[in-house]
Amino acid sequence: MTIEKPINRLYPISYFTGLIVMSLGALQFLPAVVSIIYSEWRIAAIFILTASVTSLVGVGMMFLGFRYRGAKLTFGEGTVVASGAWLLGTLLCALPYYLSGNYLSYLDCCFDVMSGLTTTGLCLIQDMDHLSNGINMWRHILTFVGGQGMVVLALTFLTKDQSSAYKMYVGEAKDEKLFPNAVSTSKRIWLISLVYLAVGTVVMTIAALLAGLAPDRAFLHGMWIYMSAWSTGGFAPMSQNILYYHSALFELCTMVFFIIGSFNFALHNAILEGKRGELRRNIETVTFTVTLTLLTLITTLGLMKNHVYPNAMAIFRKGFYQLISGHTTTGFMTVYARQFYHEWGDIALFAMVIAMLLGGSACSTAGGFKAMRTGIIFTTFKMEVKRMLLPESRVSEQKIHHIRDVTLTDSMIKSSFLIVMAYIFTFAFGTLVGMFAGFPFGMAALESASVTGNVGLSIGVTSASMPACLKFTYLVIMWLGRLEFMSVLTLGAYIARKVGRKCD
Amino acid sequence: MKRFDSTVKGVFSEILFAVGTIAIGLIAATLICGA
Repeated sequence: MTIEKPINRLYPISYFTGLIVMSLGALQFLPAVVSIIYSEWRIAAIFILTASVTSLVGVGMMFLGFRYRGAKLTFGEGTVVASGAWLLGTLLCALPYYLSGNYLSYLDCCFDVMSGLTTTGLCLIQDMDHLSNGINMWRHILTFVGGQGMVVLALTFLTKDQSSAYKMYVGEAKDEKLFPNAVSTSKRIWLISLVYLAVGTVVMTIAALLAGLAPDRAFLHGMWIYMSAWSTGGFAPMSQNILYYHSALFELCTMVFFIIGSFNFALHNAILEGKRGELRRNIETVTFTVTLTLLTLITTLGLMKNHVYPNAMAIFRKGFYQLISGHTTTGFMTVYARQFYHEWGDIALFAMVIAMLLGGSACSTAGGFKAMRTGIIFTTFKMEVKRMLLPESRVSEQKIHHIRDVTLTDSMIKSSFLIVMAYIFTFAFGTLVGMFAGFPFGMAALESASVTGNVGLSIGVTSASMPACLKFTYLVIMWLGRLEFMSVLTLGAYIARKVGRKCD
Repeated sequence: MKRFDSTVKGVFSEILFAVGTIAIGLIAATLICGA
């Protein structure tokens, strides 16, 4: 009888992390092509260099664990791979930013990469209005890929290992299975995104042309704004964000795409397969419609009370636009950051904070608590009140509708409460650090809600001049919020255990 | 062809839903401003 020697589990972790890092390296060749087309030779050379470095790191990690590529990852290891790849990916994807000379420090570069990948949309870049097309392309690719998920990207193109694939997929805070296996699910997520990329780019290009942009700029701006809208990212090529275009049609088109972008991929799949009634019945669309309506009323009343805008159309284009941009966790803005603080008043800002924390749908490009959890928590309260009125012997069962009727279980309720509590604690911590950095409570709270929910609306706190500790705190909060805490905490526990063993 | 048809109808349904959602804001602003 032969006894197999237990393998060092770092090797398979290294193999799968390398796979994801390599896909990020390959991705950097895309902005290099754009730079070559626009004769931006220095930027093209930077991207070719950094793409090669990132790919080499990925290949090196894969080579290290190549002998163990067949080893099955556990759920814990899958989450370590997902969160580890996000961290390493951030450090490597920041290289072109750093070499471009558009940033004051490497921390600022990492902040913007994490902001892009987590589809937050806050940025510390310098002189945004004069960026090269290559760097702008990279910013929007990061946010587009981050929306779908970098693990989803790697699974779509680079792996066939079903068992480990599912564990990494779950580690990236996606637990919906559109198909029985994670690789087919990832491929479907990309197919849906590419269908919409084609539709969205055409629509946004036409809107940009009508707004007065020259044809080639209209195409690039249309594509970038669409990528940002679909990913609920909030990046834009100009520092004035959506305000730059001064076009109601352009604003309307962005709203349509970021609302659709905030839908659950399982919902997209069901609708594109013919189940269109889902839009009216799904717990997430119903919850989103209810919370949006209530918050719209609060915001509008708050703005009216302060006489901020002169008429209904101004309230719609400024007030409602920021609200829905915050609720879908997009972060596109049609007002200046400081206007929030100086003009909006406490009631409208309160509604904004709630909207940003509630967020979009689960398994979508959006952040925040997610409509699924809000719906489950509300249904649980309703169920408990109903139970109090029933005889003690009566056992009641509550169902929610998400693609099909699902019975609400204790584990679903527990997990919803747990994640929502984690978001609230993180939001409170971010607010506290903001206040320690010298910002008043209102500003610190709105910015913290924006970072925790991966939104990107800013009240003016986020800038290259803010303290480094606040930049680092926001960076970690964006990472925690996007991966919904558990993966990052598992990675932390895994590292602590390894370090602890070495010290013993 | 059937699949293409279903995809096109699906995309239109989602766009229609988004436009309906946007209408909430316009109606709320118009009603509250008018009141």
